[in-house]
Amino acid sequence: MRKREKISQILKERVLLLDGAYGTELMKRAGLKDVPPEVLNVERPDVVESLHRDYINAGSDVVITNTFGATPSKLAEYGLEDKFEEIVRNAVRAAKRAAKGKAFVFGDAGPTGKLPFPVGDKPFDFFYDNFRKLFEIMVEEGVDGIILETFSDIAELKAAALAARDASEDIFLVAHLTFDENGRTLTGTDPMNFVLTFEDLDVDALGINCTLGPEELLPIFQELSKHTDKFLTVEPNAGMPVVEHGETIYPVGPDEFSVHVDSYWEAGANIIGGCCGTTPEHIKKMRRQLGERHPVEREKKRIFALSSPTTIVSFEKFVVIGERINPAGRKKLRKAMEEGNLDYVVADGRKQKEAGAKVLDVNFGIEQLVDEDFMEKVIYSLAYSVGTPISIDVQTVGRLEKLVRSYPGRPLVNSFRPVEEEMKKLKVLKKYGGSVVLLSMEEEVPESYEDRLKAFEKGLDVLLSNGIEKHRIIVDPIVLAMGAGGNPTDTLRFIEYLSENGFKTTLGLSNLSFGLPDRSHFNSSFLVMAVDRGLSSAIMNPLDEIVMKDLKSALVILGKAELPKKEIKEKGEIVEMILAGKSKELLEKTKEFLEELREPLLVVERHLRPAMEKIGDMYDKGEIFLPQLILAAQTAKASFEYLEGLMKGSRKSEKKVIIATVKGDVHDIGKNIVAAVMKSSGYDVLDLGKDVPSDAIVEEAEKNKPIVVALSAMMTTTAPRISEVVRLLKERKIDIPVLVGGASLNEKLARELGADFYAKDASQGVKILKELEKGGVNS
Amino acid sequence: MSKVFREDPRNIKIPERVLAARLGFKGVGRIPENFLESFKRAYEVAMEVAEPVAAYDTFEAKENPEGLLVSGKILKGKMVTQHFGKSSFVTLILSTIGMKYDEKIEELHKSGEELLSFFLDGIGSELVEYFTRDLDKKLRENMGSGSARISPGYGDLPLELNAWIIDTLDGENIGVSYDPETFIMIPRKTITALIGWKGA
Repeated sequence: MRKREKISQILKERVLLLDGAYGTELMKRAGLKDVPPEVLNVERPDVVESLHRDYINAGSDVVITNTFGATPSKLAEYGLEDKFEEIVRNAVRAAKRAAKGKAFVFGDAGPTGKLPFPVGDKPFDFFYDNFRKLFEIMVEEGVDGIILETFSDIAELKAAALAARDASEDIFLVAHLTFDENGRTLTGTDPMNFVLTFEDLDVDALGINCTLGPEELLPIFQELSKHTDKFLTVEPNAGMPVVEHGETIYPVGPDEFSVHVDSYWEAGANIIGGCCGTTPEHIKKMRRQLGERHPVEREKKRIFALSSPTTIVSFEKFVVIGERINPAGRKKLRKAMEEGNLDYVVADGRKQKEAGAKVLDVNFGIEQLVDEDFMEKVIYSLAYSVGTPISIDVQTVGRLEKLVRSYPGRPLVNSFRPVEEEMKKLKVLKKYGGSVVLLSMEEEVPESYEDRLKAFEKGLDVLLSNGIEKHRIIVDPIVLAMGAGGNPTDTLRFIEYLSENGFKTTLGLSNLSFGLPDRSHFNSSFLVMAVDRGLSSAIMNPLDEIVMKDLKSALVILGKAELPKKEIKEKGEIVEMILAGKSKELLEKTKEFLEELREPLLVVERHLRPAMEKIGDMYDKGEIFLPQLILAAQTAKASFEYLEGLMKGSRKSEKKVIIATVKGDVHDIGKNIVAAVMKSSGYDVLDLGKDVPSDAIVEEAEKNKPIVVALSAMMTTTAPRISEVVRLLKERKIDIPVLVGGASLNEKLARELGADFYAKDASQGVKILKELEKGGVNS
Repeated sequence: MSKVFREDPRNIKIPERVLAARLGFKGVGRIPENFLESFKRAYEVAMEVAEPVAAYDTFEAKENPEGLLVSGKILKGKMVTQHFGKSSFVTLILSTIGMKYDEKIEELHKSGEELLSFFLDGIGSELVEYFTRDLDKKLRENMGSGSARISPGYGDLPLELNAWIIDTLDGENIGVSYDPETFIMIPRKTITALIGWKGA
């Protein structure tokens, strides 16, 4: 059995404990100053070995070698390049001597301290070559795994991961990034993007270490855990460092540190350890807390998205892929590419982004005329500086491999056809990841719907059988030039078929109108029809205003984009007042409005409800937090009650809502929030409280005739009460919809229990009420 | 007779980040300045009304063709196999912060102090969790290497076990009861949990 399989098998059974810090601990033990800790591997291997032994005695299942800064380029900074091999070999040997087969030994590597072009000045292979040399030696010395720690740039981490895997198929490979408190790496990558880039690579575990203490790092780790089903590792620092009497101190002691073990286990960690400032004593306490734990199970998740180091583009909404970086018919661009004029190409990309492109397609025309390294620089500059993910439209397999291999994120490979000469591209996709455009054609241009279907099915089969999963495939239904006899209705039919079967799609829009007059109008009309049939993206010209404007309005009409909103100035002032909790001022303002409008209902409809609507939107977009929403509801309550008191009875009953927590359930905080937010949105809410018998709810519904009966159920054991209420309502022929929410529920379960609507939170609940009033909601 | 563990609520340390996330300030890491006053008020009320108390006891666990036999109950399912498969002892834990806490949340809600009521509720959820962590830690210091602490409702561990744990640990002695149909516990801020041990 290979080492990685053996470790993977153990990890399915129990959570492993890594060791603690080496750098800070060795500096302390050996009194190091101005020399890197790796020197000790040669000069004092006994000190290194003794620290390994202390960690193993404290309970570590895995120890890592003292080689964090042992890449040739890093050692050269200290004039230690001649000692490189000895430093690395001695490090592995010291760890293995201490482990005596009782603990696994992972070879450690940290970043080189350099950054890739254009953030720094190094090409991808600078990193790859450095790490490859390091890992070859580690593998020769027999490490069980390799751990890449404290990387702050996704491209460098990718280079290191590929180098490790190329050095050995046998070892267990762990890749870590380090994040700052706002959840981004130094060069702007977030945890979800980390997963997108690494999920396709042959890496066994992903993780985070350093920079933050256990408390600060937890939410970032939870975010990482949400998106991947690879094994997860984590090593927080012993708190955020503080300087006391000129010395750097890590403030979180062993007891406090070990308290967090539970939280990391709950968040899905498979290997837990400590980074800077942690000691054998920390590990000892963690061992006690960790015990013999089985890992928590995590769901397999797949995200359909592309990424650059700083940006993720999901295909849940329509994506414009800019087509203009293509020298066909663009003499100046071709010249720029042949002469290596990077600025020209980047400016072109930036212009497209500003015009609305979310992804940039890059085509170099006659590829042999363009320098390979320049191609890499173009891709890197666009990905890092413009920030858009890239669709790599390169057909020479060697060049495609170079670009996909080094790409700092998840790229789109444009394109693949199921024909012999394209099969080499599969190796690139399998090894280096990325999404791919699958063309619905083989050797010949498809003439009909059936030709497309046949080619698509063949291509899909080839991709799936090579491990390229559905969430990495975008299908091009092929649009042909009408002037050359292409029939766009076949393409439209095929888009519909693909969309109904859950496939993401894209197409080269401009092909349609090639050789025709009024190209923009042809392109625009076709695009609108294609979007209506489910097209998810198009490779198109974002600088064409006619097409872009029509696309925007079509997306709104089809409910795929939000209606552009006109802000009412007055609303801003009221919103501010409500968010600031100024209850009295709001009541005064409400009275002013009433004097002006005379009718309480008009004040509600023109001022208070729009303001609460705006606040609800802000909450939905994550612009404000839940407590702000609750405070807003609390603030607006007095004004609503004042106006309600002035309204006639008939007005009030139009917007009546009955709300209750079902029988047997005493958890009502969620219900209370929903009731408060509904009240503050102008609804007359009758709150029946908690633990309410089903027949009492139904009786109140019969008596009050509300627009909805809202029920809350927190536990799986109380959720079935919902179906009891639904049944009783039906039996008594009371035709009032039932809206439900609560921790144990979801959309599917709510429907199964017979509810008409499910709301995940208060804001969504209010939206449903509004739709119900309009009579426009489909239950 | 089960053992009883009590702690002054002021000694229960909850990381600010955890509280911030629980109270809805996700991704911020701390309570924002403009909510600090309300939070402090709620925290002070929490300290006044919380009465953390736990009952716990350790029982021999025997493998049985149907599952794991613990104090007359056969524990079954994936969670039991995964976490307690090799255990020879299992500790049952019942911890709560008391009824006064629930009453205060209700009182604030009724008086229209929704925000305070919500904050108090959130602080209570973390208070009972971190109180249980303190007990968990104390147990591990004495018992050695244990499994993860898991609770009814996790994975396939049924909520019905709440009733068994409360009955076995004489829950009424610390003021805990349950609904026999839904197994919901009163007071609301109550945790039941189990830890498996290889040896004791």
